[in-house]
Formats: sequence, structure tokens, C-alpha cells
Amino acid sequence: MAERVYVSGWGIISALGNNVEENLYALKNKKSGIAHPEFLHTNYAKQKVFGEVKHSNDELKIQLGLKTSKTVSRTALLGMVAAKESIETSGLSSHELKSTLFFNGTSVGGMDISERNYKVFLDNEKLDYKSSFSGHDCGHSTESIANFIGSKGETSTISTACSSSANTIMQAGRMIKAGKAEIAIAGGTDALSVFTLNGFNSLKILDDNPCKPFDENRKGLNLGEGAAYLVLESESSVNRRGAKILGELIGYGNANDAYHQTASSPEGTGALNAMKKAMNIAGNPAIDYINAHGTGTGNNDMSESIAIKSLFQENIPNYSSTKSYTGHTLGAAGAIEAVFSLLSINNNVVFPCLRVDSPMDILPKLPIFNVNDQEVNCVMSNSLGFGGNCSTLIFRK
Amino acid sequence: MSLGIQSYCSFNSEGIYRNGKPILLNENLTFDEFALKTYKQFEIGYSKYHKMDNLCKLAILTSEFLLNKGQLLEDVSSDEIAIILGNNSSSIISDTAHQKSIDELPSPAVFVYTLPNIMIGEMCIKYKITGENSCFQMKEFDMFFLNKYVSHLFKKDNYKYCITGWVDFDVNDYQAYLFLITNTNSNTISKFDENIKNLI
Amino acid sequence: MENLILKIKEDLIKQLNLEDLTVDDISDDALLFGEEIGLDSIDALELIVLLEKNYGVKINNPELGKKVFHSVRTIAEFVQENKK
Repeated sequence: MAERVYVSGWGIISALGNNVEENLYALKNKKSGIAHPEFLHTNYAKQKVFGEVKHSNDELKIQLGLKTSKTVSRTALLGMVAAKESIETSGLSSHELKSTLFFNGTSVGGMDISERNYKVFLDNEKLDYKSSFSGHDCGHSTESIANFIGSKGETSTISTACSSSANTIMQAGRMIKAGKAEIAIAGGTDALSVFTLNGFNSLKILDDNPCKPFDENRKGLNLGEGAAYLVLESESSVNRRGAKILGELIGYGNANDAYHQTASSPEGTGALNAMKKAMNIAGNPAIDYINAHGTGTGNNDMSESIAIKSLFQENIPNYSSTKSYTGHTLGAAGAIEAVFSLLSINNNVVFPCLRVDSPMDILPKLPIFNVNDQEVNCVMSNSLGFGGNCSTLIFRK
Repeated sequence: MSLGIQSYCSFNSEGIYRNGKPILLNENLTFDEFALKTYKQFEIGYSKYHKMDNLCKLAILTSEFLLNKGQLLEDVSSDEIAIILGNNSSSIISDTAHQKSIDELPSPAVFVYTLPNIMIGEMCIKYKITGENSCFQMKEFDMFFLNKYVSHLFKKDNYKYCITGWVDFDVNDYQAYLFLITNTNSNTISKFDENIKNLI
Repeated sequence: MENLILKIKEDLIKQLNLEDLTVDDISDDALLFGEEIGLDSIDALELIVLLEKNYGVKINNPELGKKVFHSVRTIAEFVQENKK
């Protein structure tokens, strides 16, 4: 008998705030976190805007009780903040944490530190080689965060671009459903880096101004950063612990678009297949809100709209892109938007797509413009990554 | 339902082996030289290949032999095939190239390869595969984990094939070990269990 | 002009990794983004980098890029007009 998969804890840090409450406040009050960067050292600081977390690395370390002299990547720091909140909200004991699994999705890993130290190294300046680069790889971030929160169970690191943390949540959900695990913390983290900024800039898909997903005149995405984790738990475990339930993971799906390394197919095949799979597993529920991938690029929003239309035909659910608030948080996006989806369910509210002046005309329904109170039972969240890796999650009350 | 290995292929600095038999041995050529020799000798004929970075080239060449130039997947629908890979060095070669180019003019053609899962994207494009795909970062080739994950996929979803294994390209070394797993019972070489690493 | 066209063809083959093609395979007026040469969206971006790096000519908007990158001849004409 397959176990049901519940969400019993959540944690988040983003441009909107340091925790779930602050993020909800910003979402409900239409307060976008997109601005010129304060901490990212780049020549583009005055020219471009980002969804930057409004704290320096030192401030994050102090918040976490770490020595500011300790070398820790921003990716790991953001992850620690969010993971810490997720276990606090779940009420898991340190004993229970020992056997909890930890699944992390990231694309940047410790690159924020490596790229700075690389320059120092090339200039023949003195630096401690080991501490400067040992945190570089993605797996190291995962281990650091797991160690910090005291999780000693199996860890897993997924790096599939923008769908990384949706895939970790899917993996955790599967394991619990199959009875292979009772409790898993799953999500992801990514920090801004000059490497990523220059790369996306070379693809000419950045908007110098705050992005406009689903707007006819959208110019591109804004890069963002952040982290989020869900504590996923089997029904048996939740009942045993008397844990509070924030929602249920009822569907998930992953498919490949098989079209291009970084662009989505005109028909949105990958997105469509991922959504179909998730709906199938979920038992084809009525969807009250779609938290779209909606990056604000010409290509994604068109492709995703076509996929949504193919699936839902004339009965398009309410939809929006919260990337208009946070920017595109890359590897963390799936998990951050999973938290937003659960907030929508827990508060019976849907969040708008900010800055839509001239809506696209592909979907017969306009995106949500305002923060609207509505009964929300079931939310679909899309994360469509480079490499054609498309994932969808469905949550229910 | 039992899962079997229909074919397997390894590609490293010693050469290319398919189902345990040597296809082309390498005599001290660099990867660039050996890969190009392989491409020409076996008439791969795929112009997109030349734009790829070395990690993707390694993945595609190994897949060509694994799938017998795609023939093994001909009678299957694209959503019936999944790809689940392990990797350690991520996209370090392209990452380094991109990092170097940042101070001058960053190249978009280099940047698109700065993610380890792009190689899976390239495989999907070439062989028209639209099923589930994932790239796990691992300390070393963990066939035990992949075996569990892939077995579960076949159990839960309607897959007929899954390409699984390890593709890694580091500064000092490169290795690819790919296995074509099937539940169709046709022409399998051996059972699919966590001991298949012994086949390499 | 002929020399410039030849150089552009050589640059294209090298920069865009068109290893299966020679300069003779690329006719001056062949559609670069059509079936024959088959460049894609990433190649278009690389072309912008190439023009700036090799010829000092900047293209700031993708729409202009579409017109300029029509064929090798249109690229050569644009470079000749705008070269500093």
C-alpha cells in the first residue's frame, strides 16, 4: 500500500525575506525583491537588477551562529538558513534528524567563493588553497547543510539546472511513497555569482529592468538567489509524531523536451509531458492555481503557455509567475515556488504576476493581476530547466 | 518483471568497448584526437556534435555505440525511454573555459555547456528521448543507488528502456560507462543488478 | 570584398565548429539559418561575439542581427560599412 506523502515543515530565504512569514508578507503586499545588487561584486551592478537576498554573507553567518572568519559559500549559507527553518517548523527532534534523508538541488555550489579566489590565485596573491576551493563542488554544499542541521541519513545532490530542487522533492516523494524512507528534507539553494551573470548575459536573455513574465513586451529574466526546503514525511510517521500538516505532495512528473540545450520547444512538449505525468499520478485533480515557471523570457513564457493550453484547453486555471517577485533563483526555484504553492494553499490566496501591462494573447485567460483571496485546494508548480529537463509538482490541502 | 541489460559500452582513455568487446583501442591519443578519429571512422555524421563540449561528446559517442547508432530504440516511443546518470566532475571543463572568457567576451556557445545535465539534453535531442531524466552528483560511480532508482522507475512508470550509468570528464581523466536497461526480455546480456559494475 | 567574404567563411567554420563544411561548401548568398548551413539561436549569439572580437563591429539588438546574419555576403557588407 503506497504511503501518502505529507509536508510537515518548510523553510525559505529569498529576496522577499528570511523566512516563510516574511516571504508571505511580501507576496501578499506586492513587494517585489528585485533591485540593483548590494553584495554581488559586478561591473553590471548599476545596469542590471537581481532578486538578491538582502543580507551579506557575514550577516548570514551571524544569524546562523557561525564565525565570520569561517569560509562558507553563500549557496551553503542560504541553504543552512532555509533548512534550519524547515526542521524547526517540522518539530523534528535531533534523534529523528539522525535518520532523515537530505536531498539538495543546486547549480552554483561553492562557485561564488571559487570565482573570487580564482582571481586572487591568478594574481599570485597569497591564499589558503584548500579552504578557498574545497567548497566548490555541489556535493560539498549538500554535505555542509546536512551537517549543520544534524541530518545524518543518506544525502543526494541533483544538478539539473532550473529544475534541480523540483527534482529533489520528486525524488524524496517517491522514496517515501515506496516505503523506502519515512522522512526526507528536500529542496535546493543557489547564490548569485558573476559566472552565472556573465553566462546568462551572453545568451541575451536578461532584462535590465524588473522582469515582466507573461507580458507581450517581456525582455527577459532577472537572476535571483535563495533557498527553500520542505520536510516530506510519510502518513505513518506524521500520525506517530502528531506532526502538523502543511499540505500533501500528490503528483510529480519529469520529462525531456529533446529540442535544444537552452531553449524550449515551440510546442512546449517537455513541459506538457511533465504536467501530464504529474496530473496522472495525482489522479487528475481540479487545479486551482498554477505557479508557472514564467521566467519572463520570450521563449519560455510562449512555450509554457502553449503547453498549458494544450493540457487544460479552455479550462485554464488561475496562473501567475512569482519570478516577478523573486527573479529566477535557478536551482532553488523549484523548492522556493513549492513553498509559495503551499502558502497559497494554507492561506487561500493566489499571488499575482507583477508588472503585466500588455498580457500575452496565447492563453484564453489572463494571468492573475492582484492578490486574490480564493479557495485553493490544489496547486501545480512548474520548473523547466536547461537541457530540456522539465518538472512539475502538484500539492494539495 | 525482471530487468536486463541489452547492451553496455565503456569509453575511456584505453579505448571503446561494447558488450565487453573492443571497438576501437586508443594508443596515447588525447581525447580530442581520439574522439575525432572515432567520429570519422564510424561515420557518426551529426553536425551538431562539433559544437558540443567534451563531456557531451563523450556522452554522445558512448551512446552511439550503446544504442547501435540509435537502432536499438527505433521501435519504441520517445516517452518510453528514460535517462538517469551519475557524474562527479559536473561540467568543470566548460566551467573553466567560461570563467576564462568572462574577462574578455563571454561565449554563449561555451556557457550553454556549464551544467552537467546538458549532456542528457544532447542525448535526448539526438535519439528523440522524452522520458524522465536526471543527473546525480556523486563522489564515485554508485551503481547501487542507480540500480534502486532505475528499478523503481520501471516499476512505477511505463518505461521500456532506461539508459543509465556514469559519464564524467575531468581535467585529468574521462570515463563513460553506459548501460541500456530494458524490461522487454529481448536479447538481454545479463540481469540488471548492482553487480553490473563487474561488467566494466 | 572577396577577401573579406573568404575570411568570414573561415571564421564561421572555426568559431561555430562547422567541421563538416569547407569554405567551398558555403556559397556567398546561402541562407545561414536555413536548411543548407543550419545555424541555430546560439550560433546567432556567437556571431555577435565574433563580429565584435574579430572586426570590432557591435550589434546591440537581436533584430538587427537577424538582418545582418542573413548570408555571408550581408555580413561582409555590414562589416565593411561599420568597421572602425
